[in-house]
Amino acid sequence: MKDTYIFAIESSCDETSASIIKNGCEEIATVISTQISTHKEYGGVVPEIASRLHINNITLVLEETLEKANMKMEDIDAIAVTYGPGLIGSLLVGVEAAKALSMIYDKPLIPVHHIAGHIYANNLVKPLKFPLIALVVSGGHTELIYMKEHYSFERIGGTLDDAIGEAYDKVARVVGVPYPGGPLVDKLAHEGEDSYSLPMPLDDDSYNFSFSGIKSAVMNLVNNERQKGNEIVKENLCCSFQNRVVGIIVKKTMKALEDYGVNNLIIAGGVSANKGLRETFKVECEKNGIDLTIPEIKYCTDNAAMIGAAAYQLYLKGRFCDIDLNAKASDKLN
Amino acid sequence: MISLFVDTALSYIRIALFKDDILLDFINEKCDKNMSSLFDVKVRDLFSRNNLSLNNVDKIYTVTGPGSFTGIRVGMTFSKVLAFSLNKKITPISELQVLASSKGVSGTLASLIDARRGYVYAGCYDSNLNSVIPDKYILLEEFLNCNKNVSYISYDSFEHISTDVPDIDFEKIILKNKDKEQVDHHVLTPNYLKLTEAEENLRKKKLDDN
Repeated sequence: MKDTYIFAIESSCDETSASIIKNGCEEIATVISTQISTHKEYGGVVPEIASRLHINNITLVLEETLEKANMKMEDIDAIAVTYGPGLIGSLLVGVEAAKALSMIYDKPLIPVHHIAGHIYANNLVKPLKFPLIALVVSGGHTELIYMKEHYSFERIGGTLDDAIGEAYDKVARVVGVPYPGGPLVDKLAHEGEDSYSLPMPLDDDSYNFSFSGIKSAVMNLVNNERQKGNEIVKENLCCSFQNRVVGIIVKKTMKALEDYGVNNLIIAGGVSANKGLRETFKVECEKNGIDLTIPEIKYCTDNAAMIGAAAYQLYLKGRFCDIDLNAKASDKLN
Repeated sequence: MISLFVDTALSYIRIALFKDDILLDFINEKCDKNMSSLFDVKVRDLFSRNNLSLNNVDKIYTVTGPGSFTGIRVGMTFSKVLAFSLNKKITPISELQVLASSKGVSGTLASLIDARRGYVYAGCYDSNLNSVIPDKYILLEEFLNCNKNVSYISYDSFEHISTDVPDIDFEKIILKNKDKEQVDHHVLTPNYLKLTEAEENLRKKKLDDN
């Protein structure tokens, strides 16, 4: 069978990225232009600044990707792009670039859901085995998804309020850790002890999560301690917080695997880079005979390689779109 | 030589095709919503009805602003990617100069775009589209005080002044800009004329801190 090369673009938040993926599983070249240092000054992603940087960088990223792959656009079989969810102004730059390429080179256009991309980052590690449970953990998502086959997504649970990444960022701000706070909270957690009394997040029979309670508990604890003139031991607070949230995520994910009789687990999204989460899942999955797949750290955050990997499945199914494709700030995965 | 003009800075999709600087065909449609969704369809329509392909384009003229931030980025992303694909440079054009190209008005024209909160994007052009007062982001009141005896042209309406609605002269714009220096597609960025609110606030904070 002829090899299929997909040129993918991702610009849903603060990374401008392009990638060429062969047959949905092999990365030929990926370029990521990150804006973190710019947004750091503002304590978080500023949507209009993100959009402005995307348009400034887009052609540079396209060119570098082709050069890195030593390929021409003529060698490509299809153009894929993240159409949503994400920051609308940011998405629009990637979507417009993909539509332009599709028209200029007369290539099919494939719209990819951002979360499908994160899930398919795992296909770059090893071929997905079905049925599987996918745990998506990021700044905007905390979801458990059942997949019986390729590109079939059944959401079985998710957060009722804040996404896990949001909770991490909030805790980071409260303890005075600079943006992007999540990775630093994870690092501090490893240097501390679980010494603070924090409530366990929603611990029921459902596959749903709630992190607003523990987020408020951390804020109250810090305020109370400061009022009493006590210093917060950042490392210990981060460790206590991380133990609670990782604990409940692991517990509910393992329950989903058992209830659905599934032996394959994949973890996806920016928070899948979290060391505490990775380590705990490795131990639990080994204990329970679960085949665990976690993306390499470089594929955990936003990148176009994962979009190309997901797009390949749509390519096989012939799920293309016309150039009237629009970006969507929010959209369900189906 | 086939030239393409692209302008999505305001609520209009404006695409024009030229052969040897003579207007071949154009689309100039009001588009309040779904600019991103409609723009490429209109590009395809225009090329298709003229039996041309995007690969036939020899020269690209693009409006870089000022105007709607998101709108500007639709046309400019397209133009940058086209220029990258065809290995061409881009001739940047101001939206205020585009408005000043209007037919049926004479003398010095002040082009105005409502930028909200009492501000406008404004610039003055003579009848040959030479810039008389450079484009700027300015309080309307301040601009009006400094620029009297001009005709105002705008899609927006303002208190105390009467404005003419633009009637764009595509050929006049291209003739004016045909010898203008072209810019590398990697380097070309939108001309918003205005920092983002977050940048303004940070700048103020830094000044206060000093």
